[in-house]
Amino acid sequence: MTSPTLLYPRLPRSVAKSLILERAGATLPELRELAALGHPDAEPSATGGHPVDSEKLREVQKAVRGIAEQAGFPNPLGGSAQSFDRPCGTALLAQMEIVPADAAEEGVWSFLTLVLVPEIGPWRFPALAEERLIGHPRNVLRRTWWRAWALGPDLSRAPDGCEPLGEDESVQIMERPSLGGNQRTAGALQTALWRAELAGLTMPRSELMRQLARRLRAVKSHISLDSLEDEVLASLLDDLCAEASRSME
Amino acid sequence: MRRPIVPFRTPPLDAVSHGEWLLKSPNGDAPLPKEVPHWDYQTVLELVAPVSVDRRAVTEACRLDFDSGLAVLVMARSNHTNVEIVATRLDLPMTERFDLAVDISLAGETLGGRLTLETLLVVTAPRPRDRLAPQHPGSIIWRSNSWTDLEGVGTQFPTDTLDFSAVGLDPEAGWQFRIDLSDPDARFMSAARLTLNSGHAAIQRLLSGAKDEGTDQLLRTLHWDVTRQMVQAALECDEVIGLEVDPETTTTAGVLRNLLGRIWPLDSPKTLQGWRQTDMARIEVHLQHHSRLLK
Repeated sequence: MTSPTLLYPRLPRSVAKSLILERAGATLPELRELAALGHPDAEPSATGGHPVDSEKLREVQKAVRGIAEQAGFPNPLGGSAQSFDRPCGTALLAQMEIVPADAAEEGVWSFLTLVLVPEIGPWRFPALAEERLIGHPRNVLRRTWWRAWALGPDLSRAPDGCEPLGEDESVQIMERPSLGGNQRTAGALQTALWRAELAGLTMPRSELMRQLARRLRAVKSHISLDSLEDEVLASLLDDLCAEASRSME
Repeated sequence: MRRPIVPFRTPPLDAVSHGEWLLKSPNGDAPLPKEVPHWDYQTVLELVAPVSVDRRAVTEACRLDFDSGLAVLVMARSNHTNVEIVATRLDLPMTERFDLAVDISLAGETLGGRLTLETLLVVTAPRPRDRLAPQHPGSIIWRSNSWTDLEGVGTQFPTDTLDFSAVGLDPEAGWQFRIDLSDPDARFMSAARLTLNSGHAAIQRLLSGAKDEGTDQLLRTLHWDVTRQMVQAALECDEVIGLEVDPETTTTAGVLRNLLGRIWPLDSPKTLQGWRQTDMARIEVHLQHHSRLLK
């Protein structure tokens, strides 16, 4: 047996869709009023850990709301979405005590997004796309937890002279499971990008990441990255960065 | 097994062999089934497989020097979490042929869904003899895949484990069962929970899947006791008594009503409530029979 973990309630997809429909047109304050620590149709996994208690759910709710307020809630985020996403992922990873297997459950994130903090999704993604509210991989909260798991824990951290990963750069890693599902590979990609930034970029950093991710996937088909020592892996990634830069000249 | 399409020479099929993965348990090793229905996040899968590598044949076919570095890696991937981890890495000694017992241990917390185990033979330190030989460290010259589906599709009873001594509960107790009937319409899976004392040796044997006579009796006793507590709770709750059997129900009251219907298909809950007041032994005796308390 491994150490105990917390199991979060899972909201069935049909219930999540009904909630989205029922609440179409609701204002952010109205949505906030609908927040709850439980839902009659939500239940955790039967086995595999301990059901999360109300106190922990309240902590998570408070943390997400606090970060949203610091990012300007209820005012629109505009171009500063990372001021919410980065600290949100870091805080969720630190506070939830959820294991990746449970964090891959759609219903868990539907519950958090539509029951625990129902005002946050429509504020972060005002277009109200269903994929951001239901617990799919691009869900407003799920994506930040997984970024922190793969690239964090502190998503706001970057070496001096570098910027933390932006939205497009994170997506290049996280939406390629063969890269984002491997913590070592994801971390190595991130640090390779920072090394390239420190050495001087000849193209937009996000474009370099796009090229790098594509090239690394091709290499991964016949090179086992996990068999390489850290410095060999770093050198391989630096070579791919240089190759990508040359191809864009 | 499939041969990869790679930009370098690869060994012939008979240079590497991979036996089937065996799932280890206290009752012995068994071939890894296509489904592991009782898996959950706290399950640790212990697996072993025999792998043989003919270094001479491999290096000759790949046009590598005999003393090139070779390693066997086992990668574990879950299509539920998309997580990929190195389950083990074994560097091969400089002998002609080497038989490995590849032994891996996979904690459940990053897995779920389909678990794919990919065994790779990798050139970690290539000493190529020509341009068609693998040139780069990490070159994968052979691979083999196996898979199993984790988690069954059947309903599971809401259960967790806790070391009772760590939280001030009686360390000699085996389990506690709680059911909250304050809201009879709440979902049963949220309202009921069986907590097993993981600090007790007998429960530890049960959790590790032991199949001895004592553990078998413990399991029957556990089943009987939990059933008995659920029946007691059902007969004390008027909302349960007023319900009809409904195979589709998920509510706490509904699940308890269905339990009464399964144990006493010919008797109404009202009748059972009457027995409970006038002839409790009748209920207890039938519960022992129904739960197969004694073999």
